[in-house]
Amino acid sequence: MRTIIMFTALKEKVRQRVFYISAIIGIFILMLFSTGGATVSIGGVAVTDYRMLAPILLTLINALSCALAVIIGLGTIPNEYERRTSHLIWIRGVSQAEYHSYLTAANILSAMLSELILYAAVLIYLLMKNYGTDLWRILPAYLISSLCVCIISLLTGWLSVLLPRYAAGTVSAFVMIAGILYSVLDLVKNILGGFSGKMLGVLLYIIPDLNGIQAQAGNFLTGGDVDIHILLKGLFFAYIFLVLLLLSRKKEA
Amino acid sequence: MNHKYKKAAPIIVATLIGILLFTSVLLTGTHGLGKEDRLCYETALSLQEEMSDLGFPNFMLTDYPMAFNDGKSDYVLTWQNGSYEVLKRAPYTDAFAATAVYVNDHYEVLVPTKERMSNLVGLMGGNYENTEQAATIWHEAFHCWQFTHFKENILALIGNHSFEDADFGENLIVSQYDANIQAVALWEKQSDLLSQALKESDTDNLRALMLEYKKLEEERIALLDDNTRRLESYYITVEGTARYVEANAFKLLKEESFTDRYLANIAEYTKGTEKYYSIGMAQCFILDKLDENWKDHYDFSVPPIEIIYEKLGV
Repeated sequence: MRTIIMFTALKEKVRQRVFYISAIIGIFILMLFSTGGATVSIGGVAVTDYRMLAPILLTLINALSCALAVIIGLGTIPNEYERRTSHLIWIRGVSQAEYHSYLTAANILSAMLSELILYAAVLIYLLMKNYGTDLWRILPAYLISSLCVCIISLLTGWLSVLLPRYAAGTVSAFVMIAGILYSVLDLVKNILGGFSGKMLGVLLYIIPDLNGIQAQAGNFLTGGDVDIHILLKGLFFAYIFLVLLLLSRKKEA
Repeated sequence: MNHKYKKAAPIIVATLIGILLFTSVLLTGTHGLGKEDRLCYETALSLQEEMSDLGFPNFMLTDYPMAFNDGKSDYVLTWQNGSYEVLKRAPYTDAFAATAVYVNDHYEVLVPTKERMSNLVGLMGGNYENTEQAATIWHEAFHCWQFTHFKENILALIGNHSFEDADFGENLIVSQYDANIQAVALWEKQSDLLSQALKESDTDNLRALMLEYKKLEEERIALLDDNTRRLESYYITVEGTARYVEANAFKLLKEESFTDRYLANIAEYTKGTEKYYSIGMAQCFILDKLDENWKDHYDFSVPPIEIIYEKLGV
């Protein structure tokens, strides 16, 4: 029964147009990078080196996947309640916590699937640039990167149980953007100083460092050092959001 | 009882996972300084011998503790008996700063970690690698040396003023100098002359260029108020020489990029205090052409250009 809930929700996600459109846009942008149709320059110097370009590609993939995770996850649980499908589940003895978690698991899998498609572009890029020896690094890098998607999906799932759709969407999008811009905000915190800097510091404590997680994926892909602390912090955020999701109850049920 | 146990088991497991995760986060959070920063410091240390040959008497990086700030803590590296030890402490300042700081009766180098520097420079469209960080370490270490040995002379350059005064510092340069079209035009001519002088090897030609430079200097200085003049002298003397040290460190590590990075844009006018760093550095390189030993007795009481005038008799 539990797996049916998850796979039915997953199938529905795959059928949604937004999923395909977003994936196509992502692939289009990435193919432009990979085939040299677009150029990135840092300090006036064109970035063509794999070790410089790979982190940029991963940042783009991560941002797109997290945005998808919000879009996909926002409606899943509220839709089930609107359609009253939930009542069919209750009579089969599935608890609300289980029901929410399986629906969120479907969201995570959908977003991870879209990210996997986007990672295919990196694979193509590596093949084109003859970085055959680094191919095996894609899978662990992908798994590291998917932690961001998990965190955002769990957060969106939890908020969609508690808040109206627009409010859940706004908060999730805010956390997602702040998480992606984490290193920038960290710098702004130091530049601001004083009370504003301290407030921003507090905000950074309660926001997952998506940028840091994605940077570890980039480090792994390019053979650099992976900071395990950042990944564990990410896992801890995922754990907290999962617990909150399991503890939250929807009144309509 | 059995049923109760079955119900409680998932909660216990989930709680244990949470505790385990939380503990791991805490334990790995105190792992200390990253490899990259250690590497930057070791790269800077590897230049010790060549940098000593630069000629500033007893200028050694190892004489000054080196603090890396990661935004949450400072990691202080202290050189002792052929190796260094790392100590963690609360940040000396919340500000994002690469500087020399006075801590318990001595000066220390303080720089943000390489990752943070790289993020900041990246935001401004630049690229910041280990080489740049190692060169920055030398820049700040030179400030430690300057302030340890020549603090009085340096402070005399700014008279009774303090950088804590709101109307003294970068803002003054921007409002009083950068807004003065005549002064800026003269500065541009001067920096162009310095740029030419850097490429000149003939002493007579160099003298002619510096004579012209001095004339423009007198004309330009007359347009500035006393405070702006003092600030200019301070920045050229203190920061210009530190930039010279930094550039030499960079040259030792990445000679192929040295000219592009440090010498190519000297004639370009930049607002704020940055222009003084470049001009001061250029003056040091010109002095090297005239007498490599000028550093033996340089006491930071005047900008390097005064020594150039003296050596050339202009």
